[in-house]
Amino acid sequence: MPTDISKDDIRALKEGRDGAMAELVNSYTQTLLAVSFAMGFSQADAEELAQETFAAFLSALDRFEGRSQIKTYLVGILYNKAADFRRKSYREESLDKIQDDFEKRFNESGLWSRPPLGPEESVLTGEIKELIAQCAEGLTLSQKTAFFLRESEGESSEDICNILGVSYTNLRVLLYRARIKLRECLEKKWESGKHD
Amino acid sequence: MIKRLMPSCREVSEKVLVGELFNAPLLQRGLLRLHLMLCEHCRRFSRQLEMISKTVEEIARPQLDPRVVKAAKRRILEHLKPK
Repeated sequence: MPTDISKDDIRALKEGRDGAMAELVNSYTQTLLAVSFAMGFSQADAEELAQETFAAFLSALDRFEGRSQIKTYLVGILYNKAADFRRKSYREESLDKIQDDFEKRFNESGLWSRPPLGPEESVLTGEIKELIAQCAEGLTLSQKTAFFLRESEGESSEDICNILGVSYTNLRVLLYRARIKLRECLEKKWESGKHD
Repeated sequence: MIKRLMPSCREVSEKVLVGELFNAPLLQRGLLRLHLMLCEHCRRFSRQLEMISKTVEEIARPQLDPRVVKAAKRRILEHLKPK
């Protein structure tokens, strides 16, 4: 994971000094591509998103006050670009249904009335990974981003909230529902024998 | 006594879902672990969530071939440089 570039580097960027832009691109391209891939974008689209993110950052450099880390700030821009990119086909589903379906798995005493099915293995096989990857495609953009930043990049809740523009409570709900949805999907695919 | 204090399957799964299974206070944490030892359904649920976390962590990695990243950096930089 790249380290955040320094205030001097930002000053150099503002002054248009040689090498400053290359330093920025070298430091953050990998992160921006990783987040874009995790959002489900192809390599070409991921690169275009990263490029647009840098361009937007550079054109509004004077507005960057250094209150958040550059990485957080850039991923925030990337997230908004990705949301624009997907706007036409992107639709937040009725999330309450996910919650309702999960609640129905328990009886009044809080015990499983419909116990979880799906893989029992303690070892993560290639087959299970493939099923989970397929299920991840069904998450919304905000769920994918939140989940990836938390599980893979190890970002703090505060930074993820800044990137997504959501409250801490909303972030918890996003992660909670992403996990329910992925597990339910894994169970369904596994039990329907699609893994064969 | 323990039976009365023991969290329900719903409570255990909620803790797993918010990623706070082992951040609970000591007594509660002990009871959650005990519940997981005794309840195969919750154990399976918890194990599956662990698998999911690990997999999501790995999803983007295979695509991050250093050559792909290097080529992308070069193209991005070319595009950003003032013409």
